Amino acid sequence: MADTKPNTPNNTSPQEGETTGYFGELARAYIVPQMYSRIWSPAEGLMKGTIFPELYRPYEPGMRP
Amino acid sequence: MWIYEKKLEYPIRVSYTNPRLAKEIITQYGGPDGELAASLRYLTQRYTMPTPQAKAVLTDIGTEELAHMEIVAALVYNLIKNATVEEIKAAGLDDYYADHDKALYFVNAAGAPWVASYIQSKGDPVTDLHEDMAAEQKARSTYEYLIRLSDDPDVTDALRFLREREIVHFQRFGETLNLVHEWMDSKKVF
Repeated sequence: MADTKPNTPNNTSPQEGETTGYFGELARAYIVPQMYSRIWSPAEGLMKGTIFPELYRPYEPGMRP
Repeated sequence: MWIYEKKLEYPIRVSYTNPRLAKEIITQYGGPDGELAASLRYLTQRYTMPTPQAKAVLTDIGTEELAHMEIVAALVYNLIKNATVEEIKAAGLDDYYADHDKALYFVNAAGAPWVASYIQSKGDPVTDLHEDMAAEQKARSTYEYLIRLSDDPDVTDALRFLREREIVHFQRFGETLNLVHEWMDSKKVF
C-alpha cells in the first residue's frame, strides 16, 4: 500500500470522521432545509398544490423521477 | 380536537360516471399508501415525537391527510354514484358492489380491506420519520400511476394537487428529521 501511515485513533484528530455539521455524518439521512423566498398568491398556490415555487414539481405521464 | 370546514381542501369535479377509475382511485382511500393510512400513521406517531415542533408537524400533516381522504372519497363517490349495475359489472366493480352497494369502504384497488399493519408506530422518532418520508414517496408514486390511468381530465387535476402535497410533506418531514437529530445531539452534551 502506498499509504504506510498506520490507521489508528492516535493519528486521527478527535473531530475527524465525526460530525462536521448537519450535512456530513454517515448513516444518517439529510434534507436540505427550505429557504423561504418568493411565494405565489393563495389562489395560485391552491391550483398548483403549493405556494412555494421551489417545492413545485409538476408531473407529466411518462416522466420518471 | 378538530374544527370542521364544510368544504373540500381542493374543489373537485368529475367529467362523467366512471366506475373503472373509481375502482383504481379507491386505493388512495383504503390502500396501503392511501390517505387513511397516512392520517392515522401521523396522528398516532405524534405522541412519541420528542419536541413540540415535531408533534406539531405530525398533527398538521395528519390533519391535512384527513382532508385528502375526504377529497378521495368525494372523487370515488362522484365517479360511481350514477353508475348502472351493468356499468359496474363492466368495470369489474361488482365484487365491491355486492358488499357495499355504492357506499365508501376502505379497500385497495384489488378490494383488500385496510389493515393496521399498513402502518407502524415505533416509538423512535428517527425511525418513524423515515417511515413518514417513505410513505410520502409511496403516495406520490401511487398518484403518478393513477394520473397515468386516469382518462378524466377533471379527476387528473385533483390527483395532481394531491401528488404535489406529498412532495411538500416529504420536505417537511425531512426538515423535522433534521430538527430531531439536532435535538438528540443537544442531549448528548449533558
